[in-house]
Amino acid sequence: MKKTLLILFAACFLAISPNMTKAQGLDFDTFLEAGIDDASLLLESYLQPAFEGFGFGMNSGWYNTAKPHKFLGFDVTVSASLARVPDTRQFFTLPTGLTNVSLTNPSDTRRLPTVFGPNLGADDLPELRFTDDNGEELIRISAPTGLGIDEDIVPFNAVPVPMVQLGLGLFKGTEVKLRYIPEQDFDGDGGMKLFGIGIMHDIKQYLPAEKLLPFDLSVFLGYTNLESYVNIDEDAGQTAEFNASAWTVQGVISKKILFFTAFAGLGYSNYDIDFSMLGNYTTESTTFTDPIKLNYKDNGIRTNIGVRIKLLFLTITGEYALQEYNTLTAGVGISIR
Amino acid sequence: MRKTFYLIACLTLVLWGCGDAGVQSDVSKNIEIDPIAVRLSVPALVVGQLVPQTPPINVNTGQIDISSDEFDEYLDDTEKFTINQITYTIDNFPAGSSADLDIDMTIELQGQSVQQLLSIRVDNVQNNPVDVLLYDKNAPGSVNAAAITSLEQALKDGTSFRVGMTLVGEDVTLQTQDVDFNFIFKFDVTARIQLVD
Repeated sequence: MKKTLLILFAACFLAISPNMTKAQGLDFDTFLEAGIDDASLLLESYLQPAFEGFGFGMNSGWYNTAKPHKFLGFDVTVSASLARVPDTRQFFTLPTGLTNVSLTNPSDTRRLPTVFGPNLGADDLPELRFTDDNGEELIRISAPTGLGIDEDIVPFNAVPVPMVQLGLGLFKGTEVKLRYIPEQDFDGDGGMKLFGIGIMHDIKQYLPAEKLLPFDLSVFLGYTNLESYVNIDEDAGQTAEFNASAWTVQGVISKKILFFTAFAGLGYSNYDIDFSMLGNYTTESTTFTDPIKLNYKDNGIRTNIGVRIKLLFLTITGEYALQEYNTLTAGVGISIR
Repeated sequence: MRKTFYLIACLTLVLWGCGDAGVQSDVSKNIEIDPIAVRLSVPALVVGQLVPQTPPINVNTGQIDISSDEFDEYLDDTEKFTINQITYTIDNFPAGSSADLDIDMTIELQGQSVQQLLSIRVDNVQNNPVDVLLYDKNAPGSVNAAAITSLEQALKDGTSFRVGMTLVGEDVTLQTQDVDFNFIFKFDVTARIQLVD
């Protein structure tokens, strides 16, 4: 039961984090007593910034120059992106359409924190009332608290997205970028695999007098897909799946001065994320099969600026992307040719 | 190491740590305990007549174990219990008969002495009142605060308890020599749970 509890607000990708090995206090079985639809609505709102931030973050860190590698030139880069959660995503109001969940005090005007909201004690959280289909009260529980991530260690509230990738120069000003982690199984606790591919192509070469132009100019198209799962209760066949894909198309311009390269991009990005809880979940009255299926998708204009420092083969990169979740990326790698 | 890598590589949302409040939650339930069966009796000679007062009747609930029965999965992480309200309902008092009741309520924690909880008067029992407030933490009135505190501590300790009642009927008119009805108590209880410090 305890393990089931933690799933509710942590989702699968939080479930393996030590801080979430105990529940948020909300009883997932009770949520299910209130109905799958209500449980999904609450989860969707509570987890929204985590998934959205993750989606925006996946499209970061693809490049640090508009100049593709020369033939068989390559780079290996490790990066970490922080997709900043907007203030508007720190709280949510109780979704409309709930049938068996309501505020215990209907005149309570406080909003509910999302997972990226402030860390509040029970006295500061609205109380939710769960009823059965006959309107009989089952239980009342404090709304789940946010994790207060910006309170202690990082200066702002952000979703981290680490990434590792390889860039390889081909021909005619074309570079292919690969993000790849083969299928991993972690001793029955879960597993994941990652694949991403990007193409950068020099378009400056098609411009007249391109040798005279004091900058590099390329187009970039990138796609990333992550599939992961966590075994909640292997004996009961309960798993949580988290599948995310994102793609972006960008125009990229850069200018190198000594060992500094300033770069900027403008384009479009898109992500699509599915989160599911699969298996049988039994409440006092019913067994639900595959009760939670959430989908988050969004798209929009993406603009970024950044700088790369190259010391011999070592590259150090910083990038800031302007989008719904502004994203700061830092990377380090080696780059040859 | 692999798990650490997994945490990062599968692009998990790494939690740097909760804030000062940790993960704290109040879990509340309005718990109905087993009904107490009460038999109010008058001598056969006065059936159908007004009886000013009946002899005292002593009844109790038997052992109640709210925390283990209702909050078992949270007990290890519970900081405290709070009793928000106690209500009662009278059920099945027959139509045609009537009575008022003077009631002294006690609680007896397992292994401890009996404590007075409260005294109430219930007028017109024949109306079968539903969910009448006996105690409200925000307006405790004449309820013995020490008994409530003991009860809350007993919940935290997982100690069972009994609710006892001494009932005296007043202005009683019964259409049969014996009248059976039920007292049903509900305890509205909050467990404060601290899951992550």
